[in-house]
Amino acid sequence: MNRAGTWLIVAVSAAWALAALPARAAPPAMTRDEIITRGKGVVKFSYWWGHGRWSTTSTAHGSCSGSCPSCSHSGSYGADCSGFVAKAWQVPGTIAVTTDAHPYSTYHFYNQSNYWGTVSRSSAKKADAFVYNSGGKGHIFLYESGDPWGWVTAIECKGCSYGCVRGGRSISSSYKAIRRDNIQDFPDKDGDGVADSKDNCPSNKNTSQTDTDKDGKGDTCDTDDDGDGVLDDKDNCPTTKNATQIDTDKDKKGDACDTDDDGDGVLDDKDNCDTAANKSQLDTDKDKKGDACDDDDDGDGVLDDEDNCALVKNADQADADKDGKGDACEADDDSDGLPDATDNCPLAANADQSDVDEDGKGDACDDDDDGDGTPDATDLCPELANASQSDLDQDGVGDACDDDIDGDGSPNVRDNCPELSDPNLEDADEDGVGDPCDDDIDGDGVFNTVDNCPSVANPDQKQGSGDKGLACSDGDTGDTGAGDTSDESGGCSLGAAPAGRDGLARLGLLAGLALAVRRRRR
Amino acid sequence: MASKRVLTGATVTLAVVALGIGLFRFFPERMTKNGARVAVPRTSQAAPAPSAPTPPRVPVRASREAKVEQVFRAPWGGRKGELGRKAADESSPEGPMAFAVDGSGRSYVLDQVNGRVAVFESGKEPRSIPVPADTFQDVALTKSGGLALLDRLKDGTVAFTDASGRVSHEVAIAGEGIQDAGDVTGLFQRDDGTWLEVSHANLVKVADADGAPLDDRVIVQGRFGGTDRVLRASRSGDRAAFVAERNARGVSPLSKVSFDLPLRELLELDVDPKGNVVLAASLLEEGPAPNFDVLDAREVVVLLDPRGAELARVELPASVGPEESFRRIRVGADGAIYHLGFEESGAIMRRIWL
Repeated sequence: MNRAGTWLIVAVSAAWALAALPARAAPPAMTRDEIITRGKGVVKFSYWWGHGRWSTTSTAHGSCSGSCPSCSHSGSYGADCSGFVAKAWQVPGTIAVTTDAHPYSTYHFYNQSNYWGTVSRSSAKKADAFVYNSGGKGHIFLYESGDPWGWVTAIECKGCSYGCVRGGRSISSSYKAIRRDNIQDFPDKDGDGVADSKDNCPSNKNTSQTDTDKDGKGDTCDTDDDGDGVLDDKDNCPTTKNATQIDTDKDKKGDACDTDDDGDGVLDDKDNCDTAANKSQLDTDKDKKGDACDDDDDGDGVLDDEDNCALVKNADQADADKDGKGDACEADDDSDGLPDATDNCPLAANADQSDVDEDGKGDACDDDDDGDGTPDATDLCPELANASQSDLDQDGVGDACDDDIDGDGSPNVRDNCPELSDPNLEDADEDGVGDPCDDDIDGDGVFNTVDNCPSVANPDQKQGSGDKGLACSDGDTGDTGAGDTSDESGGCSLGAAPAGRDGLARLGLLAGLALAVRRRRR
Repeated sequence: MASKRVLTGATVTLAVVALGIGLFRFFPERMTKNGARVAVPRTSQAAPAPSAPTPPRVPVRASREAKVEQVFRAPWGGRKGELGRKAADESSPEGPMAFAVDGSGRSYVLDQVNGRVAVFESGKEPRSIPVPADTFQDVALTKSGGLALLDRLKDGTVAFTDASGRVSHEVAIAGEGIQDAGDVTGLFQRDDGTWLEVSHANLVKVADADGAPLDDRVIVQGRFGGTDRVLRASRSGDRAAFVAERNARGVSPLSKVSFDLPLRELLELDVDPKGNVVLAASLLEEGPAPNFDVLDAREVVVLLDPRGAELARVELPASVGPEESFRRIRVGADGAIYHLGFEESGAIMRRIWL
């Protein structure tokens, strides 16, 4: 073989040897407590020869029967002694306890030093192991602690009958002590896995090293964890700074650390009033601020203290009845005893609900009570429909509601001619109709307009002198000279009028009035 | 030419070594389909399995004239007169876990591997009382002639049986004074009831004289040492043990017992009928790193007078093998110290008079 060939063999062999070496890197760093904590998880699980697997949650421990290795196992979990220690030690590497693995037997633990080494029995510490292997048999267990007699508390998968157990035991001299590599071992007075030099509570176990107020003193040994000046035993929030100690709901848990400050059962992060108890979460104006803590519940811009309707938006603060309660939130705004809903004038007190024109709007709030189209303010008869606004006597009171339409001093009811002024109430024919408005003054059956003696009853209409009837011509048969005074004194003064133009016009006017009155009466 | 030959030879040697390293590192483990690693059966190990070092045999040695007699020697096995031991692959090896001695000197050996209590009586054939589980670890005799059996790891109970071994009832261990049944380090049956020791510290009374569980448990800070004394023992440094006494006057140190080998663990603390204190210990001396081989291993029983002054001590050979036991030393009502040792061929019960 030449030199090149030889070197090739050497190189290949060396490479293969190195490749075959298990990664000799140290197993993951673990503290002794971590190992023990992990190891304790196996207690109560069954012995399972050639396996190593348990669960931190399952209570299905499995079972073993018979004499191992010719034993039978049922269930999914269990371990034998070496499978257990390898898993507790996490050798050769990190692996979940639930993953079945059995990387080493007691032979390996006793005779090799892959990830561990032999130590003096008397120097064994927590998380070390004791192992023996001889004549094809072997056992290994985890050392948890010692007792005053030098016995050890061991965690071990002891055998098929026992299963995996924890308890004190003696150790024969056949066992030797071994220690896993890469255990974080340092002065640790309190055994919390944190070196004293780095421990913020070197005399108190505090693996987490929590130091809330960052004062360099861990909470476990700090009398004021949050550094708020209130000692923890008096602090209603020992780990949350709250010098004021405000405790809204008096539940002895300060608001600063209380998830429900007001104790209303609604957590603060969902509470629209986290410091005012309001289980209902009522928020009238939907402004995300509950009424219990909102200065303006209805959001109308008027603060509740001054709002006459705190829960009903009424920026105008209208209060018709001035009772201090705004109309917007009052059921009887005008306080007339009738609910607004049925009040024909909700904002005007009108207990009688008078509604002259029956338009559904009470008179008290109706601008045109009588519905005649003329506003009350200018209506000569505001409560009596009088579209014409007729006012015969021009006295400002409409005829429709005037007791003395013609203003002659006689009330209409006693006036024999209510629409024509006749202060003397003359009624020549005494027919009840005053002469001014009587179409037949003399009652002779002939209308005045055609009566040749309108003031003298002459049903026969015998012609006297001129146009006058005989009855009123005073023997004068047709002589109607101006000097004839007898005619005038004869009580036929009216009769003289028709003789002239003025007389006729006056008669015509009277007749028209009479007709108008009749029509009106009808 | 010669140098070229030497170089080639060295190169080949190097290649073979590298190949060997690769083989050795590669084969001890293999991966399964799901990525889990499984142990290779021992039969396929590339290298032969070395044996655990065996400590040198130590003869019985006593500081003063001691009478050590063999009560019985029982071969390992499951037949009558034998005691069981179990040493399976990947599980805890165990021998007889404990024994009790009655007032007549009969030994009741908890032969749990064989599911029985083996009764040894001088001059008679051994007999056995069946027990219902192989997870009992301590045994005591009840005043009714039955057994109290401690199952601290599997079921966490004390089982009471009649004289035939039939279980009458069980009492749960965990409760007031005992957080974890696994912490129990001894079962004591007294006239007033059943007591369990926790981590070699406190005694907790769990049942009354009839074996009925107690709602209100009594806790005593130590181990009974007679009628009005409570004792405690603890390691004191590497080579000594401290014994203290609690009585009506309070707690006072009784004795510091030194050993000439490092103290591995204490085995027993009791008081004989005379009020003398019996302290037993396991000693072990290791060699240097990296192997820390066992150089010497012994078991020592020390007798102290009631005031703590050492009266005598006796050294016994350490048990051979990895088998676990729970309580192998008892003080009998006759004042003798009974010691159960494990040997290669079987178990041996010694009675020691100091």
